[in-house]
Amino acid sequence: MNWSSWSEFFAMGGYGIYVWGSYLVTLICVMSEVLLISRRHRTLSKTYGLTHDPYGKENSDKEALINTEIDSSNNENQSVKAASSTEEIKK
Amino acid sequence: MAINWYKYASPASFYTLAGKMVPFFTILAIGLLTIGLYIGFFVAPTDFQQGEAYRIIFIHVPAAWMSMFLYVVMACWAGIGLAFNTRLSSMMATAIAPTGAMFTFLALWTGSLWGKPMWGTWWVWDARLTSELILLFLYIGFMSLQAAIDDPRRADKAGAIIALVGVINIPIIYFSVQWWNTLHQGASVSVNQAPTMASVMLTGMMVMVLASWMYSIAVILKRVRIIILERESHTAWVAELRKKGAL
Amino acid sequence: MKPRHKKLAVITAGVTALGFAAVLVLNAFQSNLVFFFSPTQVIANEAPVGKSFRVGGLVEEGSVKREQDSTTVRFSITDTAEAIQVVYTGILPDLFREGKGVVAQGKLDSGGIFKADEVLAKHDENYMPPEAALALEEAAKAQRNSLTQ
Repeated sequence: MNWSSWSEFFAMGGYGIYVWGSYLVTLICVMSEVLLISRRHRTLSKTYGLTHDPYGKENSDKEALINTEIDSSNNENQSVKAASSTEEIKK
Repeated sequence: MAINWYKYASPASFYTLAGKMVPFFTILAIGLLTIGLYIGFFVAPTDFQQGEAYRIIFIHVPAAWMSMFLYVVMACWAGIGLAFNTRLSSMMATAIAPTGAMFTFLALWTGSLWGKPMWGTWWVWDARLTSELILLFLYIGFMSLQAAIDDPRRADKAGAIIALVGVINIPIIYFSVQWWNTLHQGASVSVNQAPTMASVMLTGMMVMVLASWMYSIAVILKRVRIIILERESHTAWVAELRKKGAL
Repeated sequence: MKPRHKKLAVITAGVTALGFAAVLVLNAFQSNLVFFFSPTQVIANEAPVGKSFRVGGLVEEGSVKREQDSTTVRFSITDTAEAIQVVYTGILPDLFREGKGVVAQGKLDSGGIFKADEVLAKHDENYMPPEAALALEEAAKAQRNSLTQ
């Protein structure tokens, strides 16, 4: 083991700012990339579900479309039932 | 082999395939990252000349390697898309660019934070650092050019040209430390000689490299699925997916 | 922002980025991508005269002399063939050590002494624990001794 205490671990032999500055910014970048992608996916499914419907079926099947939107925005792995029920409770 | 590879060249079937692969690579990435960080901070010993500051290597080197490797992969896909007019390959190129740019930025950022205490400067205009900065501009140029052109097919073509021209920069980055006098040191790990790192340090670094591979694959597949949906929104198969609620 | 303005902004950003990249490339090629000169090159008058340039090499063993009441340091940079004397006032990087790599920026004065206004450490690509470094050093010492005996 390299460290005898947490403060020693955070100090990084006096190079704490540089080491943690590197790791922290990496963490921020990775997190924001993942977040931006899921947000992009959510907006996409939202616009598809409600506004974009080139096949003109929106009136006949409105509820199904709303469900589609809820499912995909809530859960990206398409576990349909669990996702839509939690969203409905919130409403 | 019984797998029909041509099937996966179509966006529709690739969309499904990629969807199955994303969780797999995500789990691998998280697992490897945990192991890599554990080795990097708790198993790998202090360095004889740089003390604890060398621990930046565990992100700096993976980020720098990924930045170059992803660029080559991106240029390959863009080139294939340009040559054979295949939609999916161009979408792959578009999906790779942001992740490549992120790794380039991280390589520069961590390098700067490492250079200050060790070299005595945040930045110098030596061949290695300058060519890596140019790589960042190439990624940004590729992305903004694609964003500026409304017609996706034309955007693909224009982007492919930048991507292919920029490939020249990759060997320049890689060999800069051999070709010119640079402040940046030579490679610790290369094909034609034994690594100049203690094996525990090397193991930690390599696990982190693998982790960033897995991360990149997961993120890029996830992004390419979105791009496929965006571009194929008018097609029957997307409408079918929407009806099933499996978007 | 209107879509047209947005598009214009994006194009401007893209062109600026590419233009900046081109300037960097040209600038790098113009200075011939030489980050520093070796002492041999400087002695052979290959370095620019009267202009600021960089000298790179190893800090000669036993050459480092610190002045007592200031941060002024005198040392020699060597490439094992030739050596150049350097004077520098300021804070040295952590890795500035005798026998290790160094790059100094400054000008040659009339006496042939290099007046540095920046000193950077150039470390090598070796990474190992201190014990291993010590063991290597001992081994090298033992070998040297056996050769001289």
